[in-house]
Amino acid sequence: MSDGSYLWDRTGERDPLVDVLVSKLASKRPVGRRRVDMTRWLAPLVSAAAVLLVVIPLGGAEHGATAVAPPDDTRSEPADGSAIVVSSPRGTTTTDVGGALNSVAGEMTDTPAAPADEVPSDTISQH
Amino acid sequence: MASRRQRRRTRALVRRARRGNASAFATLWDDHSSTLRGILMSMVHGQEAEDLMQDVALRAWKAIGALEDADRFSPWLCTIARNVGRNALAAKRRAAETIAISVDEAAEMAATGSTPNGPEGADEIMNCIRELPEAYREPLTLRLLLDLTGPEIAERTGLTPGSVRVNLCRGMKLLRGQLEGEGVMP
Repeated sequence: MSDGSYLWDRTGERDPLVDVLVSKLASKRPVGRRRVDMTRWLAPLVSAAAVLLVVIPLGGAEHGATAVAPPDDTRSEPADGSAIVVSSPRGTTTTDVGGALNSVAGEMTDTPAAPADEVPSDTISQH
Repeated sequence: MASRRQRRRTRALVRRARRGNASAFATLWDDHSSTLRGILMSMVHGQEAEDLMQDVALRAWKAIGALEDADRFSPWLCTIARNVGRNALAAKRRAAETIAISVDEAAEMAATGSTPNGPEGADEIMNCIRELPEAYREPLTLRLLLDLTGPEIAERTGLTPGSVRVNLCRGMKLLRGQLEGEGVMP
Protein backbone atom coordinates (compact mmCIF):
# COMPACT_ATOMS: atom_id res chain seq x y z
CA MET A 1 0.00 0.00 0.00
CA SER A 2 1.37 3.42 -0.95
CA ASP A 3 2.17 5.92 1.84
CA GLY A 4 0.52 8.72 -0.13
CA SER A 5 3.74 10.50 -1.11
CA TYR A 6 3.24 9.69 -4.75
CA LEU A 7 -0.27 11.10 -4.65
CA TRP A 8 1.05 14.19 -2.85
CA ASP A 9 4.06 15.18 -4.92
CA ARG A 10 4.92 12.26 -7.21
CA THR A 11 7.69 11.07 -4.94
CA GLY A 12 8.08 7.82 -3.02
CA GLU A 13 6.52 4.54 -3.97
CA ARG A 14 4.63 4.68 -7.23
CA ASP A 15 0.87 4.24 -7.05
CA PRO A 16 -0.21 2.60 -10.31
CA LEU A 17 -3.85 3.59 -9.85
CA VAL A 18 -2.90 7.27 -9.68
CA ASP A 19 -0.99 6.95 -12.95
CA VAL A 20 -3.86 5.11 -14.63
CA LEU A 21 -6.42 7.70 -13.50
CA VAL A 22 -4.25 10.63 -14.56
CA SER A 23 -3.74 9.11 -17.99
CA LYS A 24 -7.41 8.23 -18.44
CA LEU A 25 -8.55 11.70 -17.37
CA ALA A 26 -6.03 13.36 -19.67
CA SER A 27 -8.73 13.28 -22.36
CA LYS A 28 -10.91 15.46 -20.13
CA ARG A 29 -8.15 17.86 -19.15
CA PRO A 30 -8.85 21.49 -20.00
CA VAL A 31 -6.31 22.35 -22.68
CA GLY A 32 -5.02 25.63 -24.00
CA ARG A 33 -6.20 29.00 -23.04
CA ARG A 34 -9.83 29.43 -23.79
CA ARG A 35 -10.71 33.04 -23.39
CA VAL A 36 -13.86 33.97 -21.62
CA ASP A 37 -16.60 35.19 -23.93
CA MET A 38 -15.87 38.88 -23.50
CA THR A 39 -18.94 39.91 -25.50
CA ARG A 40 -21.23 38.41 -22.90
CA TRP A 41 -20.02 40.43 -19.96
CA LEU A 42 -18.65 43.47 -21.74
CA ALA A 43 -21.93 44.13 -23.55
CA PRO A 44 -23.39 46.13 -20.62
CA LEU A 45 -20.18 48.17 -20.50
CA VAL A 46 -20.36 48.97 -24.19
CA SER A 47 -23.97 50.13 -23.73
CA ALA A 48 -22.88 52.31 -20.83
CA ALA A 49 -20.05 53.73 -22.92
CA ALA A 50 -22.56 54.60 -25.65
CA VAL A 51 -24.63 56.48 -23.06
CA LEU A 52 -21.49 58.31 -21.96
CA LEU A 53 -20.78 59.38 -25.52
CA VAL A 54 -24.15 61.07 -25.60
CA VAL A 55 -23.85 62.55 -22.12
CA ILE A 56 -20.29 63.95 -22.47
CA PRO A 57 -21.11 66.43 -25.28
CA LEU A 58 -24.31 67.45 -23.50
CA GLY A 59 -22.29 68.14 -20.37
CA GLY A 60 -20.89 71.21 -22.13
CA ALA A 61 -24.32 72.80 -21.84
CA GLU A 62 -23.65 73.43 -18.18
CA HIS A 63 -20.88 75.83 -19.17
CA GLY A 64 -22.95 78.27 -21.19
CA ALA A 65 -23.50 76.30 -24.36
CA THR A 66 -26.90 75.04 -25.39
CA ALA A 67 -27.71 71.37 -25.09
CA VAL A 68 -28.69 71.22 -28.75
CA ALA A 69 -25.69 71.33 -31.06
CA PRO A 70 -25.48 74.37 -33.33
CA PRO A 71 -26.56 73.72 -36.89
CA ASP A 72 -23.04 74.05 -38.27
CA ASP A 73 -21.74 71.25 -36.10
CA THR A 74 -20.18 68.49 -38.12
CA ARG A 75 -19.76 65.10 -36.55
CA SER A 76 -17.68 62.38 -38.05
CA GLU A 77 -17.19 58.82 -36.92
CA PRO A 78 -14.04 57.00 -38.02
CA ALA A 79 -14.49 53.66 -39.74
CA ASP A 80 -12.62 51.78 -37.01
CA GLY A 81 -15.01 53.09 -34.40
CA SER A 82 -12.15 53.81 -32.02
CA ALA A 83 -12.98 57.45 -31.50
CA ILE A 84 -15.81 59.85 -32.06
CA VAL A 85 -14.71 63.26 -33.30
CA VAL A 86 -17.03 66.17 -32.69
CA SER A 87 -16.20 69.35 -34.58
CA SER A 88 -17.92 72.57 -33.67
CA PRO A 89 -17.23 76.30 -33.65
CA ARG A 90 -16.10 75.86 -30.05
CA GLY A 91 -13.29 73.56 -31.12
CA THR A 92 -12.75 69.88 -31.66
CA THR A 93 -13.34 67.28 -28.98
CA THR A 94 -12.21 63.70 -29.28
CA THR A 95 -13.80 61.04 -27.12
CA ASP A 96 -11.85 57.81 -26.80
CA VAL A 97 -14.26 54.87 -26.65
CA GLY A 98 -11.65 52.66 -25.00
CA GLY A 99 -11.10 55.31 -22.35
CA ALA A 100 -14.81 55.61 -21.77
CA LEU A 101 -15.04 51.83 -21.42
CA ASN A 102 -12.29 51.84 -18.87
CA SER A 103 -13.90 54.64 -16.93
CA VAL A 104 -17.19 52.76 -16.85
CA ALA A 105 -15.35 49.64 -15.80
CA GLY A 106 -13.75 51.70 -13.05
CA GLU A 107 -17.14 52.76 -11.84
CA MET A 108 -18.28 49.14 -11.82
CA THR A 109 -15.52 48.18 -9.41
CA ASP A 110 -16.81 50.77 -7.00
CA THR A 111 -20.15 49.06 -6.72
CA PRO A 112 -20.64 47.29 -3.40
CA ALA A 113 -19.59 43.69 -3.26
CA ALA A 114 -22.26 41.03 -3.69
CA PRO A 115 -23.62 39.19 -0.64
CA ALA A 116 -21.13 37.18 1.33
CA ASP A 117 -22.41 33.86 0.05
CA GLU A 118 -21.72 34.84 -3.52
CA VAL A 119 -18.49 36.79 -3.46
CA PRO A 120 -15.82 35.79 -1.02
CA SER A 121 -13.68 38.04 1.07
CA ASP A 122 -9.94 37.63 1.04
CA THR A 123 -10.10 35.00 3.71
CA ILE A 124 -10.78 31.49 2.53
CA SER A 125 -12.52 29.04 4.74
CA GLN A 126 -10.84 25.72 4.99
CA HIS A 127 -12.65 22.56 4.13
CA MET B 1 5.21 26.54 -7.62
CA ALA B 2 4.85 30.17 -8.63
CA SER B 3 8.15 32.03 -8.69
CA ARG B 4 8.62 35.43 -7.07
CA ARG B 5 8.59 36.96 -10.51
CA GLN B 6 5.24 35.34 -11.32
CA ARG B 7 3.80 36.56 -8.03
CA ARG B 8 5.00 40.09 -8.75
CA ARG B 9 3.46 39.92 -12.20
CA THR B 10 0.14 38.72 -10.76
CA ARG B 11 0.14 41.50 -8.16
CA ALA B 12 0.71 44.13 -10.86
CA LEU B 13 -2.04 42.67 -13.04
CA VAL B 14 -4.47 42.59 -10.11
CA ARG B 15 -3.75 46.23 -9.34
CA ARG B 16 -4.45 47.18 -12.96
CA ALA B 17 -7.59 45.03 -13.08
CA ARG B 18 -8.83 46.69 -9.89
CA ARG B 19 -8.53 50.03 -11.63
CA GLY B 20 -10.82 48.68 -14.34
CA ASN B 21 -8.28 47.47 -16.90
CA ALA B 22 -10.14 44.72 -18.77
CA SER B 23 -7.08 43.42 -20.60
CA ALA B 24 -5.19 42.91 -17.31
CA PHE B 25 -8.19 40.97 -16.04
CA ALA B 26 -8.26 38.86 -19.22
CA THR B 27 -4.58 37.98 -18.75
CA LEU B 28 -5.21 36.97 -15.14
CA TRP B 29 -8.14 34.94 -16.34
CA ASP B 30 -6.00 33.07 -18.84
CA ASP B 31 -3.47 32.27 -16.12
CA HIS B 32 -6.05 30.81 -13.74
CA SER B 33 -8.79 29.39 -15.96
CA SER B 34 -7.56 25.78 -16.00
CA THR B 35 -7.66 25.58 -12.19
CA LEU B 36 -11.12 27.14 -12.10
CA ARG B 37 -12.36 24.77 -14.77
CA GLY B 38 -10.99 21.87 -12.71
CA ILE B 39 -12.83 23.07 -9.62
CA LEU B 40 -16.10 23.37 -11.55
CA MET B 41 -15.58 19.99 -13.20
CA SER B 42 -15.29 18.45 -9.74
CA MET B 43 -18.91 19.51 -9.27
CA VAL B 44 -20.61 19.44 -12.67
CA HIS B 45 -20.13 17.95 -16.13
CA GLY B 46 -17.79 19.46 -18.70
CA GLN B 47 -20.14 21.60 -20.78
CA GLU B 48 -21.96 22.90 -17.74
CA ALA B 49 -18.62 23.75 -16.17
CA GLU B 50 -17.79 25.70 -19.30
CA ASP B 51 -21.02 27.71 -18.99
CA LEU B 52 -20.38 28.39 -15.32
CA MET B 53 -16.94 29.76 -16.18
CA GLN B 54 -18.70 32.77 -17.68
CA ASP B 55 -20.50 33.41 -14.40
CA VAL B 56 -17.25 33.13 -12.47
CA ALA B 57 -15.60 35.66 -14.80
CA LEU B 58 -18.46 38.11 -14.51
CA ARG B 59 -18.60 37.90 -10.71
CA ALA B 60 -14.85 38.22 -10.38
CA TRP B 61 -14.74 41.22 -12.70
CA LYS B 62 -17.51 42.97 -10.81
CA ALA B 63 -15.99 42.28 -7.40
CA ILE B 64 -12.26 42.62 -8.01
CA GLY B 65 -12.33 46.19 -6.73
CA ALA B 66 -13.19 44.79 -3.31
CA LEU B 67 -10.20 42.45 -3.24
CA GLU B 68 -7.73 44.03 -0.83
CA ASP B 69 -4.84 41.60 -0.87
CA ALA B 70 -3.54 41.01 -4.39
CA ASP B 71 -1.57 37.98 -3.15
CA ARG B 72 -4.87 36.26 -2.37
CA PHE B 73 -6.17 36.64 -5.91
CA SER B 74 -5.91 32.96 -6.84
CA PRO B 75 -7.64 31.58 -3.70
CA TRP B 76 -10.22 34.37 -3.97
CA LEU B 77 -11.00 33.34 -7.55
CA CYS B 78 -11.19 29.66 -6.53
CA THR B 79 -13.72 30.55 -3.84
CA ILE B 80 -15.88 32.36 -6.39
CA ALA B 81 -15.74 29.25 -8.61
CA ARG B 82 -16.71 27.05 -5.66
CA ASN B 83 -19.64 29.30 -4.80
CA VAL B 84 -20.83 29.39 -8.41
CA GLY B 85 -20.58 25.59 -8.57
CA ARG B 86 -22.46 25.17 -5.30
CA ASN B 87 -25.20 27.54 -6.45
CA ALA B 88 -25.54 25.57 -9.69
CA LEU B 89 -25.80 22.30 -7.77
CA ALA B 90 -28.41 23.80 -5.44
CA ALA B 91 -30.42 25.03 -8.44
CA LYS B 92 -30.23 21.57 -9.95
CA ARG B 93 -31.49 20.00 -6.75
CA ARG B 94 -34.40 22.42 -6.69
CA ALA B 95 -35.20 21.64 -10.32
CA ALA B 96 -35.02 17.90 -9.63
CA GLU B 97 -37.66 18.28 -6.97
CA THR B 98 -40.10 19.68 -9.49
CA ILE B 99 -39.13 17.83 -12.66
CA ALA B 100 -38.83 14.11 -12.15
CA ILE B 101 -37.69 11.91 -14.99
CA SER B 102 -39.90 8.87 -15.22
CA VAL B 103 -38.39 5.49 -14.44
CA ASP B 104 -39.09 4.33 -17.99
CA GLU B 105 -37.34 7.34 -19.45
CA ALA B 106 -34.31 6.81 -17.24
CA ALA B 107 -34.21 3.12 -18.15
CA GLU B 108 -34.38 4.03 -21.84
CA MET B 109 -31.51 6.48 -21.46
CA ALA B 110 -29.43 3.83 -19.78
CA ALA B 111 -30.28 1.24 -22.45
CA THR B 112 -29.45 3.52 -25.38
CA GLY B 113 -26.35 4.83 -23.67
CA SER B 114 -27.46 8.41 -24.15
CA THR B 115 -25.35 9.50 -21.20
CA PRO B 116 -22.27 11.06 -22.74
CA ASN B 117 -19.22 8.94 -22.24
CA GLY B 118 -15.61 9.81 -22.85
CA PRO B 119 -12.93 7.42 -24.01
CA GLU B 120 -11.95 4.58 -21.72
CA GLY B 121 -14.32 5.38 -18.87
CA ALA B 122 -13.13 8.92 -18.17
CA ASP B 123 -16.70 10.05 -17.59
CA GLU B 124 -17.35 7.21 -15.16
CA ILE B 125 -14.22 8.14 -13.23
CA MET B 126 -15.30 11.80 -13.07
CA ASN B 127 -18.77 10.71 -11.95
CA CYS B 128 -17.24 8.66 -9.14
CA ILE B 129 -15.15 11.65 -8.07
CA ARG B 130 -18.23 13.90 -8.08
CA GLU B 131 -19.97 11.47 -5.73
CA LEU B 132 -17.25 11.89 -3.10
CA PRO B 133 -17.69 14.31 -0.18
CA GLU B 134 -17.02 17.90 -1.22
CA ALA B 135 -13.79 18.19 0.75
CA TYR B 136 -12.22 15.36 -1.28
CA ARG B 137 -13.71 16.15 -4.70
CA GLU B 138 -11.80 19.30 -5.46
CA PRO B 139 -8.23 18.32 -4.49
CA LEU B 140 -8.66 14.93 -6.13
CA THR B 141 -9.94 16.50 -9.36
CA LEU B 142 -7.07 18.97 -9.46
CA ARG B 143 -4.60 16.15 -8.75
CA LEU B 144 -5.95 13.60 -11.22
CA LEU B 145 -7.55 15.74 -13.91
CA LEU B 146 -5.04 18.61 -14.05
CA ASP B 147 -2.12 16.48 -12.80
CA LEU B 148 -1.14 19.11 -10.24
CA THR B 149 0.91 18.13 -7.19
CA GLY B 150 -0.40 18.64 -3.67
CA PRO B 151 1.76 21.73 -3.02
CA GLU B 152 0.53 23.27 -6.29
CA ILE B 153 -3.09 22.60 -5.32
CA ALA B 154 -2.54 24.23 -1.93
CA GLU B 155 -0.97 27.28 -3.50
CA ARG B 156 -3.68 27.78 -6.10
CA THR B 157 -6.67 27.13 -3.89
CA GLY B 158 -5.45 28.77 -0.69
CA LEU B 159 -6.11 25.58 1.27
CA THR B 160 -3.42 24.55 3.76
CA PRO B 161 -0.96 21.92 2.53
CA GLY B 162 -1.92 19.76 5.51
CA SER B 163 -5.60 19.70 4.64
CA VAL B 164 -4.90 19.08 0.95
CA ARG B 165 -2.66 16.15 1.82
CA VAL B 166 -5.17 14.59 4.18
CA ASN B 167 -8.08 15.12 1.80
CA LEU B 168 -6.13 13.69 -1.13
CA CYS B 169 -5.29 10.53 0.82
CA ARG B 170 -8.78 10.03 2.22
CA GLY B 171 -10.42 10.89 -1.08
CA MET B 172 -8.19 8.49 -2.98
CA LYS B 173 -9.01 5.71 -0.55
CA LEU B 174 -12.73 6.28 -1.03
CA LEU B 175 -12.34 6.59 -4.80
CA ARG B 176 -10.38 3.36 -4.98
CA GLY B 177 -13.18 1.50 -3.25
CA GLN B 178 -15.83 3.19 -5.35
CA LEU B 179 -14.10 2.41 -8.66
CA GLU B 180 -13.72 -1.23 -7.66
CA GLY B 181 -17.33 -1.38 -6.53
CA GLU B 182 -18.61 0.13 -9.76
CA GLY B 183 -16.34 -2.11 -11.80
CA VAL B 184 -14.87 0.90 -13.58
CA MET B 185 -11.31 -0.13 -12.89
CA PRO B 186 -9.97 -3.69 -13.21
